[in-house]
Amino acid sequence: MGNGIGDNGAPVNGSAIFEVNEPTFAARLSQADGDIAIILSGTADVVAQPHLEGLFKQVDAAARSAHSKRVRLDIRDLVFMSSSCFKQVVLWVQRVLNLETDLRYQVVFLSALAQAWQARSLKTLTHFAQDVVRVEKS
Amino acid sequence: MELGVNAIDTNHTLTKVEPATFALDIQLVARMDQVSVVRTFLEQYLRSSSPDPDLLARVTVAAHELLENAAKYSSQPGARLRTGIEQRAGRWFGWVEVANQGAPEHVDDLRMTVQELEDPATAVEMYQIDMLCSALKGDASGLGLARIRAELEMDLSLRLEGETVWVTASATTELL
Repeated sequence: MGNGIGDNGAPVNGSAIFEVNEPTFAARLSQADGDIAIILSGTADVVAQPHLEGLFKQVDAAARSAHSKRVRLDIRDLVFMSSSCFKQVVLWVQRVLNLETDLRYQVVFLSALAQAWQARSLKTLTHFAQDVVRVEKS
Repeated sequence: MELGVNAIDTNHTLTKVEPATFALDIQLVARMDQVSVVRTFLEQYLRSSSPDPDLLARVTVAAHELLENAAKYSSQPGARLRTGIEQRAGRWFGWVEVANQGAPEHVDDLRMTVQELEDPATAVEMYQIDMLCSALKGDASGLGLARIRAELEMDLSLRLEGETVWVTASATTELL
C-alpha cells in the first residue's frame, strides 16, 4: 500500500492517539501526516460500545486538525459487531455526511471476505452513506 | 452464567421438519456481558451442521440481537434459546428463537415492530429510517430487530405462551 499506509491499514510509523485493549476487543487510532487509520479487532459488543463512542469522537477531531481526506477503518480481524456498536459507526458516518464539503472525508473500510457478517453490514452502510463510504475486501 | 444445554429432537418442537435433525435448546440467564459467550458457543456448535458460512452468520448474529433484547427488556432474568440449521424440503433452513418474560408495555412495542417489519421492502426502508433517526437523535434506540429483518434477510415472528414471549428469526438458502 502506498501513501504511508501499511498492509494493516495503519499509517506507517503512525503514532497511536487512541488505544483500547480489552480482553475481547481492541481498537487503535493512529495518525501520520494526513493519514488516519483505525484498526478494530475482536468482538464489538457491550464491552466495546463506550470505547467506540469515544474513538469516533477522537477521529472527528483528528481528521479536522489534519485536514484528512480519507480515514481507513480496518475491520478484517473484527469477528462480530452488535447493532448497538454498529449504531456508533452510523452516528460517526452521519457526522461526516453533515460536514461541509471541504471538510468532508472518505471513510474506507478494509473488510475480510471470511467474515460473512461484514459484507451484509457494509452493504447496508454503503447504501446509507454512499457519498462517503467505500469498501475494500480482502 | 447459568447455562443449561439440551439437544432436542425438532420433530417434537416444530412442525413440518424433515428429516429429523437435532437442534439446540439452551436455558440461560440473559445478561448483556454474557451474550457474546453464547453467540461464540452457537457458532462452534452450528458450524458442523452448516455448509453455508453466510447462513451460519445470519443465525448467530440474529441470536445475539435477540438475546441482547431479552437482556434489556425482560422482566425476569431467565431466558431460553432454541436454534438449529437443517435441511428442509430441499433447502437449508436456519432458525433461532428466544423466549423471555416480557413486561406488557414492551410486548406491545415488540408486536408492533415485528408487524411493521413483515414486508421486506418496508423492512429495508425502516432500517434506513431507524439508522437515520438514531443518528439524528444520537440515542441508543434499538436497531436489532430491523437488522435481523433487513440486513440478515430473515423472517421474524412473535408468539405468546402465557407471559412468555417467543421471537423467532428464520431463513432458508439453496442447498450448496
